[in-house]
Amino acid sequence: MTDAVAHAHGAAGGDGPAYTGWYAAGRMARGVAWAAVGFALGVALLAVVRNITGHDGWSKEASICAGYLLALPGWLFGMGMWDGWGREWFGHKVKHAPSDWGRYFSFCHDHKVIGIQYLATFVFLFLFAGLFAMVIRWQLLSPNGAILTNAQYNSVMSMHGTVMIAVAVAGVAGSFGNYILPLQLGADDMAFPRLNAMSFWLIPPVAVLLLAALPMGGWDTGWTAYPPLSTTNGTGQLMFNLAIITFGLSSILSGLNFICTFIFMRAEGMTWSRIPVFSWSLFAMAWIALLFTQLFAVSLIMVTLDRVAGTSWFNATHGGQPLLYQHVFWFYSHPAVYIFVLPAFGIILEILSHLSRKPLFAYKWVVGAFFGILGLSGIVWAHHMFTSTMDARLLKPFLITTELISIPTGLIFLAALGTIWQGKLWLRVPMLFALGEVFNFLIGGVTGIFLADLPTDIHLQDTYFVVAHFHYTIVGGEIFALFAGIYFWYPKITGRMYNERLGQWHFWLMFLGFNFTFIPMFWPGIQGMNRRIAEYTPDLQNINIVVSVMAFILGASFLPFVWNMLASLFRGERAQANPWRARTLEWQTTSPPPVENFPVPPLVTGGPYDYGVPGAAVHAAPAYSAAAGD
Amino acid sequence: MKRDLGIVSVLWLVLIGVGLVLAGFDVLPETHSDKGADVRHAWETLVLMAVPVMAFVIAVLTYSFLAYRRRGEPAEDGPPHTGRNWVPKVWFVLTGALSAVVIVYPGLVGIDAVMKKNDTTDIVVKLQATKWRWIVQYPDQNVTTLKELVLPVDKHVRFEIQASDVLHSVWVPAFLLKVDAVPGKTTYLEFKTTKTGSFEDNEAMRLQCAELCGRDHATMQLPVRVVAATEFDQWVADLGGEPGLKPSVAKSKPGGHSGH
Repeated sequence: MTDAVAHAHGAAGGDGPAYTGWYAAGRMARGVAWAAVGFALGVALLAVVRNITGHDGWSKEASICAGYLLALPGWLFGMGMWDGWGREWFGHKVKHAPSDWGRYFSFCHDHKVIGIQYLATFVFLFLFAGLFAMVIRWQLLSPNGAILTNAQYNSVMSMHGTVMIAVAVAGVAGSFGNYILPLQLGADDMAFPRLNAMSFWLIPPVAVLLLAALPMGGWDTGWTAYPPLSTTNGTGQLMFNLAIITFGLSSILSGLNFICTFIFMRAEGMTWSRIPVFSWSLFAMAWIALLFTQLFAVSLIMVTLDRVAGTSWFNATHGGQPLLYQHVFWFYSHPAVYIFVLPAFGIILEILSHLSRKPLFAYKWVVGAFFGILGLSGIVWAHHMFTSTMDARLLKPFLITTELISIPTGLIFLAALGTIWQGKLWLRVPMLFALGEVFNFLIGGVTGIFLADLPTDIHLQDTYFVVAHFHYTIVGGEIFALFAGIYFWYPKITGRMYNERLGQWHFWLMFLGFNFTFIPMFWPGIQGMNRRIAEYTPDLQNINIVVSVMAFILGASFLPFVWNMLASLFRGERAQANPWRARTLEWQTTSPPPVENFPVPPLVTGGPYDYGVPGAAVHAAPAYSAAAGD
Repeated sequence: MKRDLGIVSVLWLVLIGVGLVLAGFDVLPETHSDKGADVRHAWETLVLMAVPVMAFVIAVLTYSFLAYRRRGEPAEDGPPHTGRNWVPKVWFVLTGALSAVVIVYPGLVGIDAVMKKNDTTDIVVKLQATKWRWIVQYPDQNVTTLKELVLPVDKHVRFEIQASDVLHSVWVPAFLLKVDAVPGKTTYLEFKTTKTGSFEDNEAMRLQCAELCGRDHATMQLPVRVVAATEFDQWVADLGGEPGLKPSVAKSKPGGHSGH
């Protein structure tokens, strides 16, 4: 059993040489080399075709697309897909990823390694895009713009928005989804470990493309890339399109993997009503990723074709429809906000239950609410288009469906409040972040009503009211949950405890910094400050200075976080298997868990949250005690 | 239990009081259009409905945070409330009812109000949006200007909006109304001016592009003036146009904020 698992994980087993980290570095270099070869080949092939058909061989954007089409598989196969997967197709033995630190830089199949790869990558990207937010707030200290030209501002704003959206999509689901889901289900890995590794290694090309856009002048359309602006601007836009299409592929593969894992990889006795709520939230989230992400890719493929092949999907002078893009785009991009926030709900409900020592209140209603949100998410997109001049007959149906979402969301609040009511609140850092999330999402949700209601949206659409609102839902609702999860699972993942005092500093600085930044931000929006502007009218300068100063405090709050995470990795107190005395399965194995997760396959015998329930069976037999003697 | 509920109820009422005081502050810009007044009513209604809901959640959250905190690791479990009782059902019905109310008013009723077409249009203004400026035409007065948008007060106005390059959006914050300009079609915004005012006194009196349109999107704006009818005629005459309004009765023209 253990051998088979180790083999499937690609960890150094008995049958191959023990590769080291430097081997990983070599593979990475090979990936880059093969990407270059692929790019050259793609460009050359296109040049041949273009010459035969009587065109110039080189056409900037078309050549970049053709080169990228082959550079991407070149990168993937070069950096490890060939060694760890492809060799098998031709009857060769696969080469395993290294088992030392190099596995974090390798095409490694272990879901825990992939989870850490996602977590490290996206925390880094979060801090990186956060610096862009600091630049934005610096610019807005002055009504005429303090440091940037208008063009630079648009690039900075677009980079901030795009990278943060990527963080919101994969920051929680990619990291904790991968790390925790198999553990909570009692599985030894995801259903498709190699596909999982591929999902992650599609991410570095996304980052490279976005960075490559900067020397090309960036892109100035925000993350929404509305045409005709996005079909007529600089080549940076093409980089954005290719990046997002690649990122979408990664998202779809992950979604598929989560769904199959959830259905087929559950331990014996893990019946539907015993599955922890975070796993449920990932299951609902994964359906959205699988069903809707392709629409974003489709919309950007159409934009790319308009740029490269001279089609006119969105070019009105040749019969195209600019509004078509918005329908296709929001058909994904509204459900996407539930990709952000469903796993976040899962994390905070998980933490509220364990650290209040109480059952999760109305568990089955919560699961129902997840699916209510999933179902409604697909039929609300046009509320982003109330002022777009779409067919007026669509306004009322979309207002109705959008307002209905407050019903399942309300059930999440009921669960949160019912769970902490009369509990024994253990106010450690994860608990503080979870409680803070409930407060933030309350403001995000209530202000959302004003945007879902057309009569107020017609004034507020595209203003800083919207900016403040979606930062409340995405940062307040999801990023707070991301940090709750980081502190909650830190001892499990690293085997060390974080520093409580620094964590508390982080929470209070971030919570207060966040709220004092974004509460005042509603005001300029209502008063007449539209979003995505490098300059504004002087009457709004004072409030913008307040917002900027508070935003700098919010930015500073991540310093104790970074220090805490890095220092605790080496100097933190050794963590026990179950420092929170939680019932769910990820806590019933060692910290960190062994490669195969559970030395003995766990047997699930009770509910995950039956705290204080008289005569309740344990959720699962603690498998580690027999094997590890802990 | 009874004590907890009692304190939370008092806290809830106090927070509702605080919320109502805060709701008393007028945060919207001074309003210069009839439909802006409808937007105002919708805003005020939603604020009043939001206050008790937010107050409830904050009351429970704050009380729980303060009253149930434990020093150190809790030795025992809390009471096993699983929620397998009437509470979620009542909550479901209440939130459903609340959401139904919001859908009907200000939702559906408000849509009819803010999308309403003019019965009679007193003045037509053609707005041409092009990177990064507005071209303002008064076809009946034979005036074209790039400098400002001037409207007579207490008149029914129709904007006929076109975009020549990319998406733009017509937004006058002081009218509390907005509609996109879309290449390839004409879009409309119909309303009645209700109050004089100008950009010099109130920065919300400006025509602002509200849809990201590239480099100088931020400064794609034009001062707006709403003036007495005589003053409007004078302004038209100064620009060499033909003073006087030519009202037209709506046949079946698209209005509100639809497009062809």
